[in-house]
Amino acid sequence: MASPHPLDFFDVRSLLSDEEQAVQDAVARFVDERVIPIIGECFEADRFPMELVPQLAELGLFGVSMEGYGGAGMNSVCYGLVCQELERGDSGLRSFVSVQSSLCMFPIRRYGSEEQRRRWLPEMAAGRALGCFGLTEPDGGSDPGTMKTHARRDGSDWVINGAKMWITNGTLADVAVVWANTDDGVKGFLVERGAKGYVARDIKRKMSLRASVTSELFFDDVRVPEAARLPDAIGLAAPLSCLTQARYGIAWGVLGAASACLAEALEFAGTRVLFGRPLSHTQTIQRRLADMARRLTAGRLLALQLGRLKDQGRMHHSQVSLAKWNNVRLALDAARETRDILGGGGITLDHHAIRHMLNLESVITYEGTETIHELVVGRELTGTAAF
Amino acid sequence: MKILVAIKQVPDKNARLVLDSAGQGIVETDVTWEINESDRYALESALRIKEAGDGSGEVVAVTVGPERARKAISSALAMGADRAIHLADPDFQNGDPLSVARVLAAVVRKEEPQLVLCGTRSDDAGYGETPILLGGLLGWPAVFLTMGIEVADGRVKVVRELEAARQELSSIALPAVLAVQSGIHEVRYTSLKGIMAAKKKTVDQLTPTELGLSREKIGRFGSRLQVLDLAPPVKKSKCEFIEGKPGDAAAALVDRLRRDAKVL
Repeated sequence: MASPHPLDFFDVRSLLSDEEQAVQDAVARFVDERVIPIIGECFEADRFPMELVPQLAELGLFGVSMEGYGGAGMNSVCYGLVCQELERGDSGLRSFVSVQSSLCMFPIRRYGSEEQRRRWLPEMAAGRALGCFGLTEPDGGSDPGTMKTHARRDGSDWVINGAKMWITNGTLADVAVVWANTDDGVKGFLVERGAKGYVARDIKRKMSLRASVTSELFFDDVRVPEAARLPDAIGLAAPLSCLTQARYGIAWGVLGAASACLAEALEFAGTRVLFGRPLSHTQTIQRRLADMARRLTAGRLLALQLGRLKDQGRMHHSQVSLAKWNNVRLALDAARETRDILGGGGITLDHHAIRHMLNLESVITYEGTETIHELVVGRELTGTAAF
Repeated sequence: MKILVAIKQVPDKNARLVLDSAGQGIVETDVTWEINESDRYALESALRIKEAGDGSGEVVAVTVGPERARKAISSALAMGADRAIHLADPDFQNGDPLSVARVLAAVVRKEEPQLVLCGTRSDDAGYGETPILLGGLLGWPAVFLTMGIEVADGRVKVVRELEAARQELSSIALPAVLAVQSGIHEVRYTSLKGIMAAKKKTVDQLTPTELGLSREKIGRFGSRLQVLDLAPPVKKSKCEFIEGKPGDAAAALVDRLRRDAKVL
């Protein structure tokens, strides 16, 4: 019997169909050849690798699970595997694809008019149009129901005022999916780049997700026609359903970052000699490596079962919360452990761990903080919302 | 133009190989498999020829291999091959290069392609003989180490890799067999749409009878070559540090390279 694979200790890959394995292999090759060689420099230079966008589109990574309109129409496990492989490269690149697919194409497909779908989805699948998702505001993200951005009906138009914060792809986007309160509850609007009164500005001095664009959006009497409103999006449930999609991708994606870190820790511990023997021959290091492998293995099984539930139409949003919470936490801990095991070298971008570690500080905060997800699960267990 | 591409499924380069108890094969249980590297370049070359044509071309992938090789076929179809032929019958398996070439020759006679592309050699057995034997059996020109292909007017211009970075350009009458060298082109990425499309493509299975082959000429019965033993390489290298000032150490190193290693 051959030893288990260090990065897939329970051979979870064998639970994937041939097609799912093929998707994973295709994206893995792209990440190995095109992403990993450049991503450290992108992070250092605070630059999103725009040159990868046409290649991501060519691979079919925008709208992986979308039927029609240029989407690949694959199952949710395939989408998860895409996120996992991309995030093995960098959380910023996975974020880009998450936002384009789950936060922009998904609501246009689910809540948009036929005209909106035809106009945007094929262009977005081809990477010729980019999107961003405006929900979080400067005064806080965990309580979107109190959003201050407001849309006022004015004849056949809507007039939007307000500001959005921490918006991935904000200044890159050709179209923003903007959520605003109205006299009739929360509604979603498609605001195009160049609309009068709409300004996007990059957030600088980030120490995390540096290979990703993060922006603020400002709306000063931005006038959009009724045709720009997502007709089927009614209330806060609509944007929250988008977040469920994106969080699902994150629960998978971070496994990629965690496995990249474990691989790096194993490689380093096996070759760095200290006190006359490799680091990996010591009990303290082995316990730490074993713990990373244990948690990664559990995370893989969790993500896969979540995907199977999603594909059966049985996934509950609280299950996504548990998976996002569990898997981001294990990935962040694995990145911190690896950073530490790497010693002094671990603080440089010559290794991957510190980049993943810094990125995951964002990932554990965005798309629902760890605490919010704990409370979502707590609410499900007790029937009482404590937030 | 119809192009037939012969592909072989081989163990993944990173697979940890364990010899079976008889010492004549590997334990396949935990091995991951992939399309042989130079075969991927052959397929890429075929797809490029087809795409540069008038749209009437067809690329047919063919493999001799057991049921597990179906995955290699799926990969080839996902990359862009139009259809595939899987020679999975047990009688086809475990042949030497000549038996495999006999099977492929029968498929070529049935399919009548203008061009057959193969990889130069397989990454597992590594004989590198099948394409040339295939050309011989068909009576077609066969070119080894192909590094450039240009099809025009019923002929093909072929760049062949020679020693010392030299290349030979020749013009060959079609039909022909070309053994493609790794690195001829950049191999495309398989797209998700390609993976989805592959599910709808045809994979034909053919039996020895359908190809007019007798089992004595193919597979393990047709093989003249018999593997007697397989063994992992024995690690014999050791590392030696030459101490001293740089000039002295360099002189000592040159001396050792001349006297012991005999490479200078």
